[in-house]
Amino acid sequence: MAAFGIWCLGFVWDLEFGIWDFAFPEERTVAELIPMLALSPTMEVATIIKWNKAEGDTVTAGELLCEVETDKAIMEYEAPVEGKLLKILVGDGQSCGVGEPIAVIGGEDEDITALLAQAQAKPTGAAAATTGKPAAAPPLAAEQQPQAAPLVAAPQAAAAPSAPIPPPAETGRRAPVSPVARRLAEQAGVDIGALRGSGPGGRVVKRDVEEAAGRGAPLAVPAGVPPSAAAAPAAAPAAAVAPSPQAAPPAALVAAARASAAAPAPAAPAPTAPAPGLAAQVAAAGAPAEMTEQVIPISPMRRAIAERMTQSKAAAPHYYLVIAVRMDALLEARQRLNESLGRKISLNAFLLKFVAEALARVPRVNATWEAGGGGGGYQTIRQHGRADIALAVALNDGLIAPIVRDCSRKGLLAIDGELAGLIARAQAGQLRGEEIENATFTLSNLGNMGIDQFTSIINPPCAATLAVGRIARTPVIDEDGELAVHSVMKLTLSCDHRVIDGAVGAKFLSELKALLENPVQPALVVQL
Amino acid sequence: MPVITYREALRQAIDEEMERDDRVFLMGEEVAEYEGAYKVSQGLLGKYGPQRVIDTPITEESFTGVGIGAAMLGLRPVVEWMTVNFGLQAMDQIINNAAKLRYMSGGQITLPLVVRGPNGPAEWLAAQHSQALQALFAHVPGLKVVAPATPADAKGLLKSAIRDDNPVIFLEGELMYAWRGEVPQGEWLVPLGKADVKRAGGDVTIITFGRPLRAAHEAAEQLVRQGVEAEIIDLRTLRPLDEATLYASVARTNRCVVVDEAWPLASVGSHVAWLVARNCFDDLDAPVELVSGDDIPMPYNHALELAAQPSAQKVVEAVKKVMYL
Repeated sequence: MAAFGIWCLGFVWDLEFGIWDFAFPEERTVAELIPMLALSPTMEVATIIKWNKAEGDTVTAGELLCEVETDKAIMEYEAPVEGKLLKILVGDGQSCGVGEPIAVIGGEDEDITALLAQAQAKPTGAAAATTGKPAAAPPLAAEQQPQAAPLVAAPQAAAAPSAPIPPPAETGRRAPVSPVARRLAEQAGVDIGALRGSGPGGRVVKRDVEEAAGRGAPLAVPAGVPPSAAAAPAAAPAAAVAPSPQAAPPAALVAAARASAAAPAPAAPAPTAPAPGLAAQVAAAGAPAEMTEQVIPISPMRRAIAERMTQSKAAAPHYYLVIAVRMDALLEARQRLNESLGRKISLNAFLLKFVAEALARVPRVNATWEAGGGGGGYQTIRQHGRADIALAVALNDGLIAPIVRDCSRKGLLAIDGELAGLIARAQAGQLRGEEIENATFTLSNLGNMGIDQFTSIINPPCAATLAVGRIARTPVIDEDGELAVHSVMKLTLSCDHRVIDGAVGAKFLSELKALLENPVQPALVVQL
Repeated sequence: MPVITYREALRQAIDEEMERDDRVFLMGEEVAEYEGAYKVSQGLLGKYGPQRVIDTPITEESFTGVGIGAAMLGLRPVVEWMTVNFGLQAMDQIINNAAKLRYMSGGQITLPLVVRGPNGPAEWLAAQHSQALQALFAHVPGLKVVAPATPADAKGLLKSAIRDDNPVIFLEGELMYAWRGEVPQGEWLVPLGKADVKRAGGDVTIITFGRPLRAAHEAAEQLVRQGVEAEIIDLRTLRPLDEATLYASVARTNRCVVVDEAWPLASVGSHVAWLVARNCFDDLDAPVELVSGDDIPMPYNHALELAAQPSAQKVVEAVKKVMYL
């Protein structure tokens, strides 16, 4: 009897729950433009790899909407609202800027022509996407998505820190801020809008504010600022310690001016009594360098490196081939070339060019191991028809490998020019997704760090990676048995044995060696 | 200071209070001739005789009711439940009589009753006898609820509970009876309604009570190796709650982890987590974490049984979460 009662209750409950479930989407009839969000701190442009929903599908908030490739990694974009996916504005493989609309979600049979017109009319609309320019996100995100903050849902963040400084223009949403971080920032005069949160979903947390305050402290009387200007922070001490990554003194002064103009000190900052943590940070900044244990949050780039390298080392059976190359002739040729051009061609440009030539001669090295599609389980090797060579570039905390496409068909000068641009943009964090995707071969050069030779992990989807050591003056027994001193460089080729057998890798290296040691090969000269 | 067990500390408290006040008496199943299922009452029958150390039938509802009646009429009974799981038989007496009589009589009736016994999971006792039921009592206005985690607190709090004019539910732990610690001899009172900072630290506040205190201490030791100094607060009394001590700590550490071995829904731990989230909102750097028992009847399988309970590892994980480590 009792069991029957419980069963009845359960049934009623289910029924009610079901009704709710159905009723909810119907009540939601206001269609919304769904914007591209900044999925990584530096992201400006992103490519939609794949839509997981089709037009007409029902989506629930938090459900995987599409996969987005940012400058660093492939991220999942979760639906910010629920409803019907009425229109996809940026399709598979297409790119757009942060803040630009990618889709419309709304109610059943809703008329969205006005919304679509609005999306078109936006100066930041689809047209801007092709230019790759970052869109001015705030209006769209702030006005049309008041309740949509899918990855970092924090409506309270919209209440804004009391700092009168507007949020950075490149982001369309305010990052969430932990309550104590907000309070400490106000006390220390740190502009929370300028901080990049290290917490989940970009949440600005206590340590971010402490670090910013620690960085900003020396700016209180910035060097090189006229005395009158230096005195100004005293009137607005809070703003003077605002972090300003670039051009610190002027930015700090602007902030100070804004703070004093817009906020007649509603809550007096208390720089004389900062939180204990802040004091410790500031003290530590002045102390001599010493080793301290730190826990470092993982950046999206670090995560991408970790995942790709681990996956590569686990999946691809690596083996390594080392060869010593005499570089005397090439160095001499390079010097002559530099003199005649009146500028320096980088050694890396030569390496890319010669590697491309060697790849043309041993094309199996320029390949990718592909797990077969279609669920059949078969696998293939794709031997590429072009040498798209990536060069690993070290960053402050990370590494990225921009690609020079089609090196076989480009001359040295073109390669060198492209390389310089790519390296500069890599270091500025401005590379676009298409500039780092789908290399066919990768080069890593630690020669300028004094490394003699090293082994590298294969950079997927390549089947081989070449590790380049320094050029060292080395005693060598010549072919005629005489001891001579030569400039010798050691090359180490990491090969994926699934694709490249030992003899094939060895053939490639010996071809490369021959080209480098005998640079009066027609390839170079003709294409100059 | 002598080092004695939790069990001996409880015995000292009862013995001293019976000596001090002849209105105090002990009753329950097997407390007299057998000297207690967990030997808390060892030696008391010999010292005070069968008038004051009374074996009852296996009828929790009846003898708890007898205790309430005795308290109404001026005695100061200590009623032992062999386990709190058995005490569920007496919930009507506790909730509708013990908790209500002072209030409904406009204060004319006092109810100096202590009901005590082991609460919380032990080992291999399966779902019906491995339950942390503190929330059922802490839920009820009119009761005081105490859960000591150290021998010294066990003695000091039990003596205070016996002297209190309100019904006090005194929650012990089967696995804690053998725990040892320094306990002051003679008169030693710990006030009800006062939490205790068991370990000082500035990085994170771990709030707990009862048996998980040990897991919290182990976690704190592990965290030291990662440069984290945890402050551990032992609530000791679950009703009334000492909120001020919690807030003062969280205001300094900005991070809070609550550990309660009970189920998570509507538990003391979830209530404390809510209190901290509300009252320390501007001090928090991360959402408050709750480490609870799993939301399931206790498995009998020992590996699953252990996995379903709070552990030092789970506390460490929660601390890392609130510290973004």
